[in-house]
Amino acid sequence: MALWEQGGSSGFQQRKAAGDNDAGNAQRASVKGVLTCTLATILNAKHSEADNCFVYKHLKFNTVMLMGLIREANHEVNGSLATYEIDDHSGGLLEIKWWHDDSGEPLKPLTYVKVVGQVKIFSNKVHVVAHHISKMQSLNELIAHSIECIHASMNIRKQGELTGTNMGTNNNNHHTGGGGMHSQQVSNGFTPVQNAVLNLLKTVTSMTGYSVTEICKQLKQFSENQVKQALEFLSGEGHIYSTTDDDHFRAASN
Amino acid sequence: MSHHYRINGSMIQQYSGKPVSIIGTVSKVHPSGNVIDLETSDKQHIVVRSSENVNVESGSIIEVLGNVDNRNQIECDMIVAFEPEQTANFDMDMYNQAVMLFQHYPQDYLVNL
Repeated sequence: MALWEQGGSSGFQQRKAAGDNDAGNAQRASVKGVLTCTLATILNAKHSEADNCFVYKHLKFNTVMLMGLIREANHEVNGSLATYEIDDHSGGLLEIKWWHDDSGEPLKPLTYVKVVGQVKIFSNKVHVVAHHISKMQSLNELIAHSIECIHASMNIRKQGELTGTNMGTNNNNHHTGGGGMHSQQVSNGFTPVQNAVLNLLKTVTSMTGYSVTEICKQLKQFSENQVKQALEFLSGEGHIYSTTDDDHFRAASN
Repeated sequence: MSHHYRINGSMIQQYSGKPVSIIGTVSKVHPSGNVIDLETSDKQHIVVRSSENVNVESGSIIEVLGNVDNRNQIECDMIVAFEPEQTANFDMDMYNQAVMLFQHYPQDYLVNL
């Protein structure tokens, strides 16, 4: 399961928090990461209370990266709020709110801009609160962005197909006993060896965690190579992290 | 603003009557001032008609937004001009390939139809 699909801390957050006791901080799980997408994706999205994010088809997001043409620009006379209506020709106009400092020239209509920001909903209408707005430097940027929209969507769709779950629902198929080991995919998206390694690391109580050797000793049914590959995958995705050295690991969710 | 299909020259016929967006190089501006000959990303030439005087230079790269009429010409609503720095190293071939991608992956390049 990729980072943006699960609730809870991402690997990056856990690295910062290691050592702090976050147990008492009951933050609602939310989708992290930036989705590169079209305006139509945002305009058609619905807010999901359960997932604490916006959803459209197979895409779930809170923060987005967009590019579009400014159709209308409104700069507060004595303030720092600029409101833009942008258009990327995917159908519809999206409102961008930008609280800016006074540096830089105000952006004018008929300029293409790149925006990174959070999707918000107010009075049943979505808009984006921008963290970053910049004028398009090169037309190649616009083309690259459009291609990236396709790429991001395709990756997320493939990830969803791989896990065999409906992206919008939480499937919890519990395979008890050895039966689950035979299937390549487990319902939570991990292979049997990845699942075994992750579950073992979740039982760790010490700060140093388990070493690769210790993990292999505990999981004799898998080869050292399989365990090492699983560790690489899990740490790359942020589910586990290395502690005292590259040979010791802990799970990110405990 | 409705969804505009990103197309090149060879796709014009398919999109007759539809709103399109085309990026191309201005080949010629007619003396009348409101008709342009545009070279598309696949090296074809199309005619773009505007209701107003178009203020573009021959050789510049522009984006045309409009509808394909029944003569396979573009009835243009808007022309977006770019600054020379923005189009200095524009990869027209890459853009042409991207145009194919938009067609082939409608389930990933999400639009409001």
